[in-house]
Amino acid sequence: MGRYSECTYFYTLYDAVEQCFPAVSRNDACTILRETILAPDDYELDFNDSTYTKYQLLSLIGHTLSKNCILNNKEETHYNILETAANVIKHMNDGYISQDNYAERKNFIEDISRKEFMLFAALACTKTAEEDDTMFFGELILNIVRFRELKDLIENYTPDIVDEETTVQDFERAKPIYKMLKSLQSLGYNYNFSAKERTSLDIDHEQDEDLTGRFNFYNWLKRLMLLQLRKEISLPITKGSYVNITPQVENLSQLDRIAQLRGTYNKRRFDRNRFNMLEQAKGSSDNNDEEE
Amino acid sequence: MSDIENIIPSSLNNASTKEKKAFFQVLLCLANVDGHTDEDEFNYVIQAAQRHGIKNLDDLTSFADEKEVLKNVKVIKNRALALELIKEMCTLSHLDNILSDEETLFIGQVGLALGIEMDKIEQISNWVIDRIIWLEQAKIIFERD
Repeated sequence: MGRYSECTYFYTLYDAVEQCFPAVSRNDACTILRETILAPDDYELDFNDSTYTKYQLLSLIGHTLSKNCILNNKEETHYNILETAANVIKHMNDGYISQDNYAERKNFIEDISRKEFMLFAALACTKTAEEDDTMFFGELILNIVRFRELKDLIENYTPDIVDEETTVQDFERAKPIYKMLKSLQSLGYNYNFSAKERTSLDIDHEQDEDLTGRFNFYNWLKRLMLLQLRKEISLPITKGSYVNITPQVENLSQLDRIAQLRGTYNKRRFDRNRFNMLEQAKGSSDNNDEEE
Repeated sequence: MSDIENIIPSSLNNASTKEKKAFFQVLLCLANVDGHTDEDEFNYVIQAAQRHGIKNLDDLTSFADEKEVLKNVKVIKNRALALELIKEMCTLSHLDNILSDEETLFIGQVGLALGIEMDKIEQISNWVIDRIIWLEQAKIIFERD
């Protein structure tokens, strides 16, 4: 599956559902998302005294993701991203990489990776919902490409080390990158790397296969949902992160431990609903593979 | 394959060689269904197959994919043997402590191929898990953990 297969930022999809329907619980939000992605095409979901088709829900989720990520305040978001990128380039090449410098780099890469995932998921949801807004799709793709380029730029021009000295050569190599980022910042939202810059910096993502018309976004969404479900078998869903459910043993009474034992093993029972869902997903995934 | 045989004798003892091969082929396929062969599960099945008189182990491991195994398993017409196979699948899939998506799918598909109802598969799975819980509970109650 390649990109995003670790599902690191999958929780942003659950967040988006919660945001669309504030009255539903986290668990219900998870169920809604699962059914939206994996249910048959003509399936309808009833909740909050309303009925939604899966395409309506995918559209809502996709637009929420894109707004959360960048499209609500494009100018400011890009200005801040370029500012942080320039600072990371500067601080990671100015003689010594401190813990703070390293944390700044790490946070930047995580933040931009999360944003990139959210926009890609927004693209997948709205494309699957069969929307026909070419401008909206174009804007999503433009921003996904920019995020991938910036992430590559930081990874290519800053070392993944901490508490180490850097050389004069590192500084000289980083200086034009810093200047370029500052100059792009002054262009506002309409900035773009030139084709020549992309090639020479080795950050070109204009031709990425998953951003072309040939890519099967619905198939990608279903595969991602299955990977996420696999993770959730052993780990419960919490807001924004995943935690181990097993409590510390030493403070538990014997009865608590037996209850805990039952809880853990109950997750290992064969469940016909899970089987039906997996079989449906596999069936439609096989069909899509054949179509491709 | 355990103390349960005192209460419900195994149908495997009276099965034909073809049925036995299909039976153990399913279990071997299950041990490999999530993409990696679990050595413990594999050895468990091979030893059981040998105990039931299967000499040529190549016959068991030569299947091309799950589809072929699902086709072969239809040779089992005896319902008692089919239920026993589901029980062994539930037991085997528990050995690595996780019932994965692939295992869930495969158990269900074998059940469908054998004409076993979904609620029967759930019953068998629950029985297997309840038994494991009962045994694990003993370690806590008798302070042997």
